[in-house]
Amino acid sequence: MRRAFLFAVVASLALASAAGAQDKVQFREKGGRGGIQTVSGKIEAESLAGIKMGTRTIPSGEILDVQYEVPALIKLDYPKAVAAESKSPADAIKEYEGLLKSPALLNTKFIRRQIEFRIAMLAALRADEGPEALSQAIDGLTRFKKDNADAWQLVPLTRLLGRLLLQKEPPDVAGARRVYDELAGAKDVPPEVKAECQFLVIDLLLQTGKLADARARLAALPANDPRVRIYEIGCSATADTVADAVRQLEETIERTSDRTLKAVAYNVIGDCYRRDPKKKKEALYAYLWVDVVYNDDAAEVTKAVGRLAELFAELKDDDRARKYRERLKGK
Amino acid sequence: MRPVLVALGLWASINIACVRAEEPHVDLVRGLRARGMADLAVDYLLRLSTHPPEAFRAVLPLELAKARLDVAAGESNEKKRAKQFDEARAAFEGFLKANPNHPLAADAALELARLVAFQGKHLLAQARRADEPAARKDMIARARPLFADAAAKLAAAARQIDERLGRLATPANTEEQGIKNSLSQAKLQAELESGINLLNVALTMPDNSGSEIKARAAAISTARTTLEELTKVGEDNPVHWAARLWVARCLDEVDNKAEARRQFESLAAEKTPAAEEAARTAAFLALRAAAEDRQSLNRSEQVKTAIAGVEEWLKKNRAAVNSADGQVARYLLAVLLEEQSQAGTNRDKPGAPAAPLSQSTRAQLSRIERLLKEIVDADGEYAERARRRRAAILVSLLGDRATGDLSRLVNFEECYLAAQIEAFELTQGKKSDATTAKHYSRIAATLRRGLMLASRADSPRDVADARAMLAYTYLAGGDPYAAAVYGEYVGKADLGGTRNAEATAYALQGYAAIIALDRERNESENDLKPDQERLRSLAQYMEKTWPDEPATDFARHQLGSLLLDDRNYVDAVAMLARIAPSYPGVAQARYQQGAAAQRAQAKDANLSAEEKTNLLKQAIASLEQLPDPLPGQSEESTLAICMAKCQLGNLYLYDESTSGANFVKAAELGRSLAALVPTLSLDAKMRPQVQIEAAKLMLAGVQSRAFLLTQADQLEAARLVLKPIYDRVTSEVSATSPPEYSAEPWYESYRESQRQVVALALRLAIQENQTEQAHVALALLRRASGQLESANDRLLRLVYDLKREADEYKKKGETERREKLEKGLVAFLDELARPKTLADDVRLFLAQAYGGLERHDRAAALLAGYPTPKTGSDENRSRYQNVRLMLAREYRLARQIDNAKTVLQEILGSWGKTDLAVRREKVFLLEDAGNYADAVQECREIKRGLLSARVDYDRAVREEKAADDADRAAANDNARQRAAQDRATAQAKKNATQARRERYWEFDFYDTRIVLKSSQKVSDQAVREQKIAAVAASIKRLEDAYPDVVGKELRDKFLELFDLEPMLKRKYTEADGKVLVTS
Repeated sequence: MRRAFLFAVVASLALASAAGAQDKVQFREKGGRGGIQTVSGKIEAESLAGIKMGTRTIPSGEILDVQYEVPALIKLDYPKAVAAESKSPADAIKEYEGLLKSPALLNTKFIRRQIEFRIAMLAALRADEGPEALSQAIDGLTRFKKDNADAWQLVPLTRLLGRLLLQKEPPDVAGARRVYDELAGAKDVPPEVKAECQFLVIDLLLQTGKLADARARLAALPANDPRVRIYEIGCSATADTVADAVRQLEETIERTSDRTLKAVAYNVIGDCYRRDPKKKKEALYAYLWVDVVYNDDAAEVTKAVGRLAELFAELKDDDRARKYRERLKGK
Repeated sequence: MRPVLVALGLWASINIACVRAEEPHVDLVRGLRARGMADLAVDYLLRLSTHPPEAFRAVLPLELAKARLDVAAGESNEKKRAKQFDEARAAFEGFLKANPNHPLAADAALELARLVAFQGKHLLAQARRADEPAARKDMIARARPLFADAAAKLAAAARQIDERLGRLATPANTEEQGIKNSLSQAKLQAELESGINLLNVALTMPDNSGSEIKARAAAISTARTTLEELTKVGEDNPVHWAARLWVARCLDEVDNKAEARRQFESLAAEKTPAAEEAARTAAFLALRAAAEDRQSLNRSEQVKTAIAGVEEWLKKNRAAVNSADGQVARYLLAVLLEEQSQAGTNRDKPGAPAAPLSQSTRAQLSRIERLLKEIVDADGEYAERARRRRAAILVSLLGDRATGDLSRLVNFEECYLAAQIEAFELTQGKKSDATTAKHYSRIAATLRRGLMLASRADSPRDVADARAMLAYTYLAGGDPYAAAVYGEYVGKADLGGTRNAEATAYALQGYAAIIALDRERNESENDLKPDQERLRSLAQYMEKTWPDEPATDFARHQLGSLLLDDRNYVDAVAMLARIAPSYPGVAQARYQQGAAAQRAQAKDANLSAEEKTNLLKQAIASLEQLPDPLPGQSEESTLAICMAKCQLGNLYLYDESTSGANFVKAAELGRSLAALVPTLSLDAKMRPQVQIEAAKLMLAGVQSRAFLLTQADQLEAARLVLKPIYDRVTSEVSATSPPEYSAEPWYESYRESQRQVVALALRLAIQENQTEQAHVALALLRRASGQLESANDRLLRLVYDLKREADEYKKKGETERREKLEKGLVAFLDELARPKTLADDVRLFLAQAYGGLERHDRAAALLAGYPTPKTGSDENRSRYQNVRLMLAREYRLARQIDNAKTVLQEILGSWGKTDLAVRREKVFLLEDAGNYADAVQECREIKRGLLSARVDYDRAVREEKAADDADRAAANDNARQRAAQDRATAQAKKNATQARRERYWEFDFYDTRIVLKSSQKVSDQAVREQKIAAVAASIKRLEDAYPDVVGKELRDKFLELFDLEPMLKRKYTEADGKVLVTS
């Protein structure tokens, strides 16, 4: 009697759990300060445009993470793989690769793709182990990109791939520029992501001193986008006119309440200051404003974090340089 | 740490919404702190402080203080930490002083209380690991008042929070509800801090006897009860977990180790986010408890587990590696590893050569050595223990080569290790000077060899450390020259790594020692100059290069002393003010700062009144920060603090405010210092001197306050204020046997303070017309003065002062006050003059006093009665001659012209024929009698006699100028020498003629004045005007020829002529005269 009752309880709990099972999408709304949000439900469609859940489509540029409701057969193993990610990327890759062999995933395109994405991203975490690991990481990401041209994952993947290409010795600037351009030109890509890629290219041109190219690119963008003006100021600043450029950018910051725009301006202020070797500390604080305060836009934060890692190294603060490098790798 | 930050975050961000008018600097600063970058937060705020946004201006100091507190809390180096604590404390106090009613005042008060508790905790930790009982006692004694202060501050902060909470009993909206929640959390945090503080107070209690142990346990129990109350707070609140952690710590302190460990382990396993910080600390404490538990049957397994646990903890808490917990963890790891390595080691038989170490043991020992070195280098709480333990490890690693022939040391590492072993040996027990010198000599030789053998493969940090160590060894080993040269080289060439500043400070100390040695050898100041210049230049280099290094405080002290010697008081005060309170010689530095500010008050200091006041304020503010001397402190530091306190008191006495608040402070300071002296460690010779200095300060403070009241015409209040010290001085002066040290020279200044007290009492009695009391005071003053003459002089000064005051009243038209004062004064003098027979000195004093009060007839009557001296000594004769001249003067001023003539004729007929003072009196008499023609004639005759002196003087001035020009144009040493000789000759001539030349111009002025007076008598207005114009023209001519005589030397006298005859000023201006009408 007692055993039958216990069985009934367990069974009802399992049913309840199955009935309540849902996909979960974690995202951060562009420009808002609502922090990270999560929506639950059934994912109906996925594309480069984003994830459709009921009537709502979450743009791909805002997605941070997706937790899929996996088939019952891998329900025990899947969390193990996710948990291994933070402990040992190598073990996590093995776990994920094991899962891919499971027949339970034969008809689950989105989940399979997510697992392949995770494998590529985890492999990329080992990129700093040496040129070979870096090359493998780039190959893995490029392969995923080629095989999944309509996946929402291409947005975070492109951000990482661009960065890894720049980590090569010598940096593959043309390659990075190409992947950004490809995403910007892809069909269905959300306008925000498109703009982000275009500005990443401009940023790249600025970093490599190709000011004329950067200006030409800026001229092709809609003039009413306030970021254009910010980058124009950045393009015009030289070591001698840093103070003036910074003043103009600070005025932009004062005028706007758009946190992402403020972040863009602070990053450009940092870039301007870096043109004057005596202003490293000023550059540092500009990037810290993005990292610490205006940290809503992942692309801007990544940019700031990368530059902070470089600046701390230049300022011989090795501990912090290491910490920021690790953050850049998502550790 | 973090809970408060979180708790007050919302509250603060709501309250300083004004800051959001611009960029949210607060968010950035707090974000940086939350991410472990408090140093950057400090740097950012300092940059911002030069031009702070208006809305952020008020809270900037508070944010800066908080960031500094974070930096201090994470600092492992004790000296740096102490400096940072002091800076943070000053910033909190500054904010609270400037903004007592700011919405964030409670926040600041709570942070300040926590900071003070932190300071106490660090001292307590230092004390608990100190080896010497005296040092331990000293530190515990210093920690105790800090905890008491923290307790008071926490209670005050809690009250402030309660007040704000009271106003928010029923929140009107969600914003107010948010503020209320934040305040409630802050209140809990204050309660938690109070509980922790109670435990800390208990830990400062002695535990030497059964009763002491019992009392201490009871105090810990009280702390535990307070903390247990806080565990009733919900588990979602970090305060709940922190309280539980501290309850377990209470158990640990009363030796209930098993239960404490159980609770630590239970807390360590907590996963609730609110428990994160408590769980981390508990995890470490559980590990430590496990490592210390020696009851286990399988100790080796237990050690192995503990090592793994600590390694895991360090890995997990990488950010905390340099915190206090992190250092303890590393030390614990080293101890456990050492225990593990010893478990398999065979002990040597006594006398047998040491067995060679196996490779694995060597590797293990090397790891332990590195771990311990890191702890030593961090210079934190475990540095000393780590140093000892490391020395033993080094001996094991190096074997007998450490003490043998240096040539057996084959590389840098071996030499460096051997030098450290030798240095450790030096610290073990007392050594004779010869043995100490031998040790230093070997350390230096070992380091020199090591640095010669150093290669790229050696740790750059160790090589840099070895260089700094060599500079120190030279200094401590009695070779200041080598220390100076080598330390300067290491610092400037950046060869000392993180210890560059330290190495340079050794060089500075080397130069200071060289200068001191030269002084001992009586070298001339010129010979000292080169080393002084080197010291100055190196100190400036340190100040510029390492402004934030504690070692730079030594440079500041040296620079401040040099600036003081240079009489550059402004820079000296500024430089000495920059010395951090953590600097070991801070008391002496503050004393010097005070001395500089005091010397700056002198008239010849060439500073504006505002500059002088600022210097005083700055020095007072610095000196006020100095803590009181404490029983148990060393004699040297006690004396330095006492001197600095007395200096503070002296500066208070310069207060010119109408409230006289600083006089009260001076008196209080003297009183409290005098009360402390018997409990302090002071040399038997110094103790009475410090005691008397403190008493003097007290007398001077009270006397100055009473004097201020007197000036404000609050005579009753002044008398009441003065009474206690007047009674004290009365009993001291009337005592039958003076103190045994009363013959000491330093006691004289105390006597002077006593006399000033009595003189003020006398003055009050005179002003209040209380003749009898005035007599009592006068008798006391005479007794205190020792010599009658000195009492009369003081009395005369008093009369003149009062007369001056009466004149001031007259100027202001306060007739009643003037009459009252003069009446009291005259009544007092009349009373004194009443006896028929008066002593000669009293007669003279009274005559002078009456003269001062313009009672010339009385003065003349007294002087006329002055007896002819019976003996013909020079002194008596000279005094009598002066009395006669005074008599002539008083007769003249009393308009008894004939009597004046008679006396003057008598003088001129005998000793006064050629005396200029007598002839001056003759001129005045003729002038006052209206006999202008004779007066002018007399003046001109006198001038003729003085003319040659004037001419010679003018010539000497020209010759001196010519010599200066020749010196500037000199082409060689010979020419320069000749110019110097000419200058010396000219100066000698000037000195010889100066006095007579001044008299010449004086009589020239009288000549002008008398001519003016005679012109005024002319009845025809046109002629009169013409004559006055002629006088003006003569002044103008004099001005053209001798502008300094009219414009500077006799300016005031010539201006008096304008008052005498207003037309003269007009005529002077018309004659194009300038110097008397321009300021």
